[in-house]
Amino acid sequence: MAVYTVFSEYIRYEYKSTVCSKATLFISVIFILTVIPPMLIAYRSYGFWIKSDVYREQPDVHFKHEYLLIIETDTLEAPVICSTYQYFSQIIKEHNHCTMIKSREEDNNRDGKYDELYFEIQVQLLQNQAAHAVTLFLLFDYKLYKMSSFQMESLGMIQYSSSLPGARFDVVADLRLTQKQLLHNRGRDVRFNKAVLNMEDIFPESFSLPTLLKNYAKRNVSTILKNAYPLWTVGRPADEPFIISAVIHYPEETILYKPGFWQIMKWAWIQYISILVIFVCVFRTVKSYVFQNQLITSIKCTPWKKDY
Amino acid sequence: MKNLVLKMGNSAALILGISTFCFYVCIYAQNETQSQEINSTEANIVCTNNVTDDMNYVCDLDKANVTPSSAAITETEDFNGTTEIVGLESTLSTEVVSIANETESGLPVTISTVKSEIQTTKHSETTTETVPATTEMVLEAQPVSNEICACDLSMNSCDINCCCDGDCSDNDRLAFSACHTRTSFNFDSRHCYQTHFVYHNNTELKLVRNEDGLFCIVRDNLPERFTYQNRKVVTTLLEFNKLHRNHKTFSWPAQEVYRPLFDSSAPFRQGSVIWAVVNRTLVPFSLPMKVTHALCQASRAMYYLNDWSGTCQVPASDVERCESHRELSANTFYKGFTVLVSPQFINETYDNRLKEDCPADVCIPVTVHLCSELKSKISLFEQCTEVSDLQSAVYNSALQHCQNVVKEVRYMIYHNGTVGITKVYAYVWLTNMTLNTRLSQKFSITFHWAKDTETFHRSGNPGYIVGKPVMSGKKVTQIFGTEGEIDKEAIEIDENPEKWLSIAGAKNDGRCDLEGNEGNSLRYSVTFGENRRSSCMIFVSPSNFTSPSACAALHKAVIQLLSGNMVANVTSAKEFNFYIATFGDAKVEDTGDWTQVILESVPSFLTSSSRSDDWTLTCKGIVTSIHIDIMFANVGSLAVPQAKILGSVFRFGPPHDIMFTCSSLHCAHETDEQHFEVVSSVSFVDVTKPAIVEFAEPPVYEVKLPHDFFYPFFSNSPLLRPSNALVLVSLFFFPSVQSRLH
Repeated sequence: MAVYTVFSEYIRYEYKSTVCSKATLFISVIFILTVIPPMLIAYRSYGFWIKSDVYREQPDVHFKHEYLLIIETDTLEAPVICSTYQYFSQIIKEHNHCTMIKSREEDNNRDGKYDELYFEIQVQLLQNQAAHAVTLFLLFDYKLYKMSSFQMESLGMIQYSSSLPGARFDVVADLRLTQKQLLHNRGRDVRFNKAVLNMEDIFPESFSLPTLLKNYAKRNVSTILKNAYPLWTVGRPADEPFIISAVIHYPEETILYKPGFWQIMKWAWIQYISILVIFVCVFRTVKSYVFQNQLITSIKCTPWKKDY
Repeated sequence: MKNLVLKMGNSAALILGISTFCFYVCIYAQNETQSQEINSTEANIVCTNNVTDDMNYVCDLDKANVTPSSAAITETEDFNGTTEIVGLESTLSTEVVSIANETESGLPVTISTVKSEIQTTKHSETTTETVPATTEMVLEAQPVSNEICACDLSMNSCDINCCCDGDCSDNDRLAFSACHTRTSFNFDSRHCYQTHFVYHNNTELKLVRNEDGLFCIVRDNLPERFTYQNRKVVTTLLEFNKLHRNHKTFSWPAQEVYRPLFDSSAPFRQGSVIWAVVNRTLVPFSLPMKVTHALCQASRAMYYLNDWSGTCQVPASDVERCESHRELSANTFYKGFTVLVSPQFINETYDNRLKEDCPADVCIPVTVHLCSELKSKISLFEQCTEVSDLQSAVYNSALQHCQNVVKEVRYMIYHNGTVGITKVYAYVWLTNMTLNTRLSQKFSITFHWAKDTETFHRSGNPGYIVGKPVMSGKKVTQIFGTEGEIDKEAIEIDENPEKWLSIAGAKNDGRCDLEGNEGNSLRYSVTFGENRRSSCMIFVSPSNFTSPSACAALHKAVIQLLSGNMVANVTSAKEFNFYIATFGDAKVEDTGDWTQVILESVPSFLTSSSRSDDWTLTCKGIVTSIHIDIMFANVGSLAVPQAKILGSVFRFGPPHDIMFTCSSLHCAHETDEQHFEVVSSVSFVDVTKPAIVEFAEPPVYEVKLPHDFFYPFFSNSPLLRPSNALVLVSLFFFPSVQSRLH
């Protein structure tokens, strides 16, 4: 019958020494060399403390039913300016020719969050008027839930101009998040939940679109229309309205955030331990070599000799 | 095995899942073997799918009669390439069974649509055992959607390509090119069997596909997960509002009229609307403004204590418009209205109209001044005179232009805080404009305290503010005749910031303003923190090259232009009497707050020569550029950094030879003009020292030893000679050598 190893077990030797001895000093030095360098290596190789991380989330976006539309025509004195802002439309009411506005938001995958906006404006131009440039501001309510509860009023702006008189303007675009700063990992964040086109605020100062956009672009978190496909169709019959149609998608976003304390500790811990293991193994070998060969004097206790 | 139920959404699912893991593996294994079996025998059914948003499956039975269905069977799972659907034959046969069941239950599905031409294979028996469970589940899960024929839109008429339309006869169907697909029952892709509708020869067939995967849901005990909850119809307004409140969405804003409110009780302070009274009617005092482009589009209400200025353009297209357009006529801006001193003087609620005429101390008229020419350098009071009335815009048919149109209106409003406005001045500049052009109008409103006399505007307090002019002046010394008194020094500075440090600008045609009369040449102020470069052209004619003195005159003119008359009589850099304030609030008495501008070199016209050969005239050694370097640093706290100018240097560029190339021999044409460019530039250099904490150095301990402690090693001792030291070393290290020496 063949014999095989059923079970094996190690012998444990104990090396003993006094507190004030070379062995104690040696062990202390080895301990420091085992514990400190992994920390330094982990830190100096960068990424020890994770300062930013990403997550993906589809934002909860709603069209606020607020907009500003400026159409420049060939008669400079008579542009078309439409807005849902009462004050704005009040002072320039003679330019408002937007007779019909349609908006519809759709949740395609039925996850409770809207995925796209269909927006259409019909503008009654005079017969001889020709539209040449379109500037459209759409305002959205933008919410994120996963990490911090984030809410802001955000802007999507499209501008297009053509030398050819247009009949309709179609655009498809994505409403994308732009971040200058990391978001928090918890709590409620309504820093930017303030009006983008605040007429009450703007009008006491000198209202100007550059100022408005400058202030908006200064925000740490904002939205921008990207991946836009504008299409300008020419040839408007005299009795038909000029149509602006926009399809805005609300895609899932990769959001940068500042990790919380335990997440930072977890990753730092992992990195430290992984390097520490190597050091422990190496210095264990060194120690056993030193004590087995009695390079440093110590008392070796053999388990089967209990007589010392 | 069909009795196995995986109840999802339940905590028990996990336990159940683990406990039945083995069984599922068995199912999976069995499915695998089944598939293999069928695959080997009946591998003649091929389904292709187009990868789009939804998956389109077009099945091809026996690789013949391919009918590409225009509508698609939606499917949520990712699926690529061509897939062989196994077991289709058998499941198609069960469709007959299931539809038969449906007809038994009285559901409106026409059995005639199912052609029982599909042969049941041997394997159908094995599969029909499992599939009825699926069909049963499907019927439970989606009893409604099963019956929806969404494409049947016209009543009593056969909808084209709508195969489930009961109005279509078999003959009608022959006209169809494809069938509108019905959506599948199963919403959850985790089910073991996915049901789709497949159309073959315009015949609707049900396809049950066996899903691959380690786990799948055989039977769903909670089919409600995939059905919408029913809502009751709302009948009362209360119910409607309640339901609406719970589902708050953004909607179109309500129509409301915005109008500044007249409130006599509110304190009259910064931001309150200024009211004008026109024929007993209260209207906000407003000025034209632009909104989206350069034209005057709207009128903007003015607010108390808010300085404002704006420009906008007014077109004058025809004669009638010239005379009738309100904004072109000066009368609009001072006549026909009075300004309300403060709303608190009127004890009426706002009803747009006052009951009686406004008393003279409550409503004050506008005092109008006519200003001659728009010169920024001359004070407003010198160029404007008070007038009682102004001419309105008139069309001058002889000259064909619109006369006396408003170019600029400046309102200066003196006030006493909450007490209200004390005086309203309007300074009006008039001009003429030709028809069919646009006139750029400027309107501004400034507020001044009634008690103020003359205000001096600082450029910052204490540090400079970016964009404010850099203060500069000359040092003057007041010499007292009597002995013992120290001469007083001070800096002389102009009250007008535009006369401070400035660089030459160009006129509209790009020429330098060489002949600009004293104090009115076109110059740009050097503003703190903004690097500038301006250039202009100097035009020369042959007369500038006639003699060395003519060249010297040209040189002098350029230097004067570049330095702004500062370097005129300077012979050495130390004489340069030009000082820049280190802080924005520097006091003129305190010369320590001012730093002398360093002149790198005095541009002297040394060569003073003019040379002319037959084709060119030359003035040698003309300096054509200046560069001003201003060095500043932030001082004080990091939270409120204050910019301090440390010093500045005027550097004149290297001298150039100005050449005039003649077009013909001897430069006959006196009227010919050629030009050279004169450049002025300003740079600001930030030399801020970063905030670095400097620690005190550790104290040095002086360790004292008796002076002869190292006696043998000092130079005067006999031992420290190289040879001795060598012996000492050798004695120490090589005792054997020592012994041998002895």
